[in-house]
Amino acid sequence: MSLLEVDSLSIQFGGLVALDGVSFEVEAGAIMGLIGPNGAGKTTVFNCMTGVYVPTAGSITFEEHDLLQMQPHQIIGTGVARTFQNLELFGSMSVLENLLVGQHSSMRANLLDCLLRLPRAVNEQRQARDRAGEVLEFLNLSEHRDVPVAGLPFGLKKRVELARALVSSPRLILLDEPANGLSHEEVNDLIELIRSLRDEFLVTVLLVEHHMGLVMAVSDKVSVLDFGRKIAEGTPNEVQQNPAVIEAYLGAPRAQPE
Amino acid sequence: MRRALLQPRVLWFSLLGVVLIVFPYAHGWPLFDGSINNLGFFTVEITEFRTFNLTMFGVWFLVVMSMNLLTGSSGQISLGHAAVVLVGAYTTGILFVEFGVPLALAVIVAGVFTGVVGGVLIGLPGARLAGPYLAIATFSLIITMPQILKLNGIDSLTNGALGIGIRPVEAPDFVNDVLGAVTGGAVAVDGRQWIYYMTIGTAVLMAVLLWNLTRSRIGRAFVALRDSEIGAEQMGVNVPFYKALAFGISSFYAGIGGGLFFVVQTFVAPESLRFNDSILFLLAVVIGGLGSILGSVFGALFLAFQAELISNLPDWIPGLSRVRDFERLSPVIYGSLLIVTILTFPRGLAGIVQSVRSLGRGGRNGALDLPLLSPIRGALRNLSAGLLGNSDSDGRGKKE
Ligand SMILES: Nc1ncnc2c1ncn2[C@@H]1O[C@H](COP(=O)(O)OP(=O)(O)OP(=O)(O)O)[C@@H](O)[C@H]1O
Ligand SMILES: [Mg+2]
Repeated sequence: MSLLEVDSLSIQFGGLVALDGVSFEVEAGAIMGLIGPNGAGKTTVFNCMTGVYVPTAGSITFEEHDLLQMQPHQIIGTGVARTFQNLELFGSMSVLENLLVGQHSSMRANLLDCLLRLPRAVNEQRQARDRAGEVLEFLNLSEHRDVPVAGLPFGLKKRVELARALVSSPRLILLDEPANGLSHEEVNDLIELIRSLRDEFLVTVLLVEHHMGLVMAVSDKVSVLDFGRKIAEGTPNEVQQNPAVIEAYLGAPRAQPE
Repeated sequence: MRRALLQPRVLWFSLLGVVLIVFPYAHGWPLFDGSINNLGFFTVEITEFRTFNLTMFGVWFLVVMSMNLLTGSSGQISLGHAAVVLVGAYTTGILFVEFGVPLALAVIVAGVFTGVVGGVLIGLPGARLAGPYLAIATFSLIITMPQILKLNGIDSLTNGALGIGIRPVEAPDFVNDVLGAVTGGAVAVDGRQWIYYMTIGTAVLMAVLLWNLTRSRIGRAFVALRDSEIGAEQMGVNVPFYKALAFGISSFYAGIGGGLFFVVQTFVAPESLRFNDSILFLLAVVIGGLGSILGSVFGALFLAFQAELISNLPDWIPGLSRVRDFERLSPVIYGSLLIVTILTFPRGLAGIVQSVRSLGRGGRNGALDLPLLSPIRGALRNLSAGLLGNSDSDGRGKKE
């Protein structure tokens, strides 16, 4: 059984069919690419997985969890963490504090612990700081630890989001256009980074991306969506040569984000 | 290293503590008797009345902390906070007068009751409402509150339009017995001083608790859901629950503040606190500084002394004394104050203090736009650009 199984996922917004019977599987330890032209439904897949949207049909199973039965805030506790296409950071907080919120679901201190700074609150907070420190180190963010996130440049913000997702020790991470806005060198670093996510952190990666160089370099398998339907799936090579994919990308030219 | 950092702070807090403790006696001392006239532009009289002033400061401090937790930290705007404070005041009065519960216990029970009511009856349904709708819902709360308090059936408890009054509190005998024995009869505590100590003590204690809370996973969850609701939710924060929790804790603080308000004023009536006061509370939070305890201190100082400041204005601004009934202009003054604050120092007086301190340390200036205020700032900028006819094109009002 695969780590993640998405089966016949469908959702409509008013008359618009955003997803139409999309199915795919992600093996544990894989890096899987999810591509498609603008508006194909990639982000919508993420939003269905994490409870932001409730699909009209289909099922999503992560390990033994039926994700569609869960509240949005419970998803991260199962081991699925995500980043956002448009940043959803906590702007007034420091980088460190963002990473502490990233560990919210694994912390247990209750109201009384927090008000009185009882040992449970103090201890788990110390552990959470240590854990955040490790992740910041790994992502080269240590020097920005105490800086309010709102003032950071875009590229760093994207990295903080990645750190915030990673700090919860997920088994599956959903990355929504991590290369967006990055320079050429930064994309090369990102390729290394995504590989090390899997190899060192043992995280399975589901990657939504428009940067084809990146997707083709890191993915074991790529799924292609167009107008809410899966039109192809295979190795990067197979997908690149698939006529339906070429048609989707070239047939109806649509603006690519920079 | 840590110890060295701590030292000056400990010193300052100790000094503040000593001042707060001796304050109710200062008016009897040689230097302070009567008045210290004319500090250049302002006459400060240290009289017995100042003890009452500072007691009210303690009450307002609790109320502003309450408002600041709700609006400053968790980003929920309530226009009905005066109603929540009223619930605390009335609960205390009813428990004491009708059920003979000792006052101190009555205040605590009133705080818990108000917290539960605020969290469950306002916070939970309110958590589903987006900003403006919550503001409207809470607005209707404060508007209907006097009617609710005067309802048939309830009025047997609340005493209808007449309100509830009590005799001024006296210090417990054992306190004066002990003090008398220790100091050989030199020091005694009268009722006014006693309620001062109780109020300030409670306020300081609850400030410490709030300080702890803001540095915990729960306090961070409040700010997180303010900054990005979806981000917080996806990081595991149960957003409706935490919104209601913020409302509940905030209402607990407001309830304690309301209980002490009743004890200090010895009276509460349906119109003791009105919509105007709700607005003043919000104003105090913004002027003091959103989301910070220092901000709440400034906000409470503002509430405690605003009436006096306004009535002193003609002494400073010569033309004003010729304006008849100029006190009635106070909403205009408050409105201007609010706009100037939001435009020039969005983090309030506390933000100014923090900037000055971080400049002193050579650190970077944390001049951050708070998410809560940036839309208001943007709108105000556009408005002022429109009124003044200059296009403010540096884009400071825009989002990044
Ligand atoms: N909340 C919503 N309400 C209405 N329509 C929506 C909503 N969310 C997504 N859509 C629509 O669903 C379709 C798929 O959107 P989605 O964001 O998943 O695309 P995407 O593949 O991520 O595109 P991009 O590459 O531009 O990010 C689009 O047509 C979009 O307009
Ligand atoms: Mg998208």
